[in-house]
Amino acid sequence: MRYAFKLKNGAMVLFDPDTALLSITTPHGDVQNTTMGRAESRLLDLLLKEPGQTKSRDEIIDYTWNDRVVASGSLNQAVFSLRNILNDSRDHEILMTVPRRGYCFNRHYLVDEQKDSAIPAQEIAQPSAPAEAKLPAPAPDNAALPPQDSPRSTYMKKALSVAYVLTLAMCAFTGFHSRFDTSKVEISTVKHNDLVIHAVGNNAAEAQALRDLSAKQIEQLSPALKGQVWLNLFKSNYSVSCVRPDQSTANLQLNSEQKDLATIIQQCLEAKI
Amino acid sequence: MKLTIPSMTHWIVLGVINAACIFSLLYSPSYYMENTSYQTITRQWLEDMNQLNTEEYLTIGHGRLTQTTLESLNGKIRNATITANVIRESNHHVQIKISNVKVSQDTELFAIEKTPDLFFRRQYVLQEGAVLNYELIPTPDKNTVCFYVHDLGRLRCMNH
Repeated sequence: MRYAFKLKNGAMVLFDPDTALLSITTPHGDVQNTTMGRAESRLLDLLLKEPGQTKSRDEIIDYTWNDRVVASGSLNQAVFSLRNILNDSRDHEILMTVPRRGYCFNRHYLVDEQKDSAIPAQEIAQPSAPAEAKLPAPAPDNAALPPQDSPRSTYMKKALSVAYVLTLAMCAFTGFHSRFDTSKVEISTVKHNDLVIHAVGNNAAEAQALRDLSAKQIEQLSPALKGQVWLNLFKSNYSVSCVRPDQSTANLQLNSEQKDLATIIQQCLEAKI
Repeated sequence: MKLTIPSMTHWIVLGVINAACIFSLLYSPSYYMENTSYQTITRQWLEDMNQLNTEEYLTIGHGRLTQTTLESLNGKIRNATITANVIRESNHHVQIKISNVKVSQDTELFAIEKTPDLFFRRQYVLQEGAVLNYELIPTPDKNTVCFYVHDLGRLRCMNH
């Protein structure tokens, strides 16, 4: 299993614990392959197994030197040497010291090799099984680590924010459009045999009043009368529009006192104009 | 970075919302046929019981509305053509702005002192820049179109 992580200068690192090979690709694309010493390699391997998890000095010594008894200075030396290799000797951001507890690898420097590594496959010195970068396991020590997002994560967050804004704009535009499309007149319909009367009003009460008035009036009309009639009363003027059975149309306009509604409807439908 | 499940959920939800909005905007079964000439006849009884008869022709399409009216009263004839730009349009509404008016004669055929209401309404319609709101009313037949002009309180049905 290989591990992929990045350095503070943006260089990408592939580490193969089986061969102790560290392959560093600089931001300019230069590749440096380094075979690490056994102690540094084992130390890095242990810390990368559980990034973010603090390993005690005893655990590290047991794993790195296989239960051999070594002086505590050996561990300090291995840590010092590894930090030098990783350009982390000044601020210890990658290989972190947890006071009185031990050391841990800062999981925020881990990357998903398959997605984020810019290293071309042919530049990897010793290809092996498909590389698999370990994702950090949640650990209690994480709380101590400063939150850091990868550039891709930041990009995705920005893209999502833009998408939210655009969606909001789209919803606002659709709402604005549909509000414009909302019907502003009310239509109340009454049917009398094959004659359908639609009363059009600015509100439901107005439309119903006109419908009721027309319903009374059309009882006087011949049951043979057919067609669709739209009625409106605007400032005491009737506006009557009709579609006859032959699909022709006619429109009549007159003062409500000039003629009764039944006569107008009949006249409109019978093509007497 | 791998997308986390919540991130993917965000994208899916945003996609669905946008798709619904686009569908709602694009799906617009219109109540009229574009570039089709509709016509009708109208009779209006004036206050003096004279009858003002008109023939009206209407075409809407390519963002323009053209209405031609030929009216007659007591043997006198006058015609008017109104051209307007469609400002906004939806399933039920067409909002237009009058861009050009041509009339065969400026004087009205009817006595304006007896029918001032009609005169004033016409003055508004025959003015370039006037905005009119047409509300389309569903009809049982596609060959006919009915609409209510809010600004004039006028109902019309026309056939193809």
